[in-house]
Amino acid sequence: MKFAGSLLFVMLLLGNFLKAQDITKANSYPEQVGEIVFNPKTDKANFELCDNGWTYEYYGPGTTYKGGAKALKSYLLTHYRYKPAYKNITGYVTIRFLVSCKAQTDRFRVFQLDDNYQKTNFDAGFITHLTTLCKSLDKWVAGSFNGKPVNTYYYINFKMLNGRIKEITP
Amino acid sequence: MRCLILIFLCCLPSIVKAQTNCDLYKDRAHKTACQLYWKAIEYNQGSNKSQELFQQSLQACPTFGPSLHEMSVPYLKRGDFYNWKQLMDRAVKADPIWLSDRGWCLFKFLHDYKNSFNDLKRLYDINKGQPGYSGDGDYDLRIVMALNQRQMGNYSTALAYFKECITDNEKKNGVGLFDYLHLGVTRMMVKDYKGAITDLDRETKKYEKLADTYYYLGLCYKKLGQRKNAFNSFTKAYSLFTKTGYHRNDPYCEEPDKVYLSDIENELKTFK
Repeated sequence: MKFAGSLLFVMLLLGNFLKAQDITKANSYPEQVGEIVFNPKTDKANFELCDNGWTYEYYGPGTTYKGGAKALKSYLLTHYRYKPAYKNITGYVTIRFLVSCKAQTDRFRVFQLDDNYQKTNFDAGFITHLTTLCKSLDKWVAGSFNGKPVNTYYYINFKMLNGRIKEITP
Repeated sequence: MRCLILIFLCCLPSIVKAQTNCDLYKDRAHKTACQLYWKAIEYNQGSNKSQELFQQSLQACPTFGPSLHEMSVPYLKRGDFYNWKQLMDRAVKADPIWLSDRGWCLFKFLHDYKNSFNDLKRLYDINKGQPGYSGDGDYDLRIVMALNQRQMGNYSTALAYFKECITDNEKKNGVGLFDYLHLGVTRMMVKDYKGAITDLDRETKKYEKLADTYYYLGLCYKKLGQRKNAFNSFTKAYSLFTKTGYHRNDPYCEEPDKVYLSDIENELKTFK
């Protein structure tokens, strides 16, 4: 009886977990898909944004990196340090963040998927390394509208194969 | 009378929308899902109002492909590939027609060449060799299949798909804007420089002012030891890139076979 009760509890938990995974069953949606809300535990309090924090997506006002995707990739590939501990890492790591109107970055968020596009958790040291690399990118060119620089969201997606960077998009 | 015509013209889009989409569905679930879909796309893509309406649309009909697809798009564009894939998998399960979009996006946004090819091949088989076009209209999806094969290192398979697609579309006078460019670059990759030059020359006739083509022409001439032709091609590429022409550019992703100004400048430096 006790076992049946425990099983039921686990099934209920699992059901709720699976429900939470289905975006069409969400209880509410953020103001914008992909919105990054300030987190005082991880984000810089003095990170300056224009226009009361209104933030576009990079592809609208055209936020870029000096030298384009080629320079960005080159920097990341040059500075990435493989470790044997990463050898089982295969899948996708997407790091989404904000590029301010002053071309500064903050509010980094990490998404980790295996090669079947299921949520996973890779080695914490590896994730810290990739995030640190993205944070060290310092040649951003803020997108603009009518010549006025604006805040934008950007993301960098790493396709990993056995701990090596196979592709970087977008 | 003029006023009546004006009123008719103003109402025309909504009349056409309603008639061509929702009224075609006979069952209540699809009709409701369709009506909510049209409401959802009136709001900004990715806004909570838009996503809520898609949610309602999918409550009415959980397999309504247009809502599954459209709801997925902001997740894709904003790097949330988990939710994008979940929604697109449901769309594909409901109707394999969505293989075209999933396959194309796996190529474009994720460089997942294997799964992209598998999707497009499945569609290719279903539609008897005619998988259709990419979501942006730039490509016959057989070209994307070829590019997938090329990126996986399967050059002969890639060339076979290029040939099949281009031959077919040449008969219809419908070769894509970048098809000869990609074919030429693929030939260059297998060291068929003369063949590459033939295809790249075709591209210059298709899209006269594309800087990227002249850059690859320059590389091929250089490999063949034709330094004067190589220099002229790189010079033309530079001029088109910086002054009078165009180069491959996309607001979302780096495009296949895209050339950077630094690539051209670095080649020109070798002639000094």
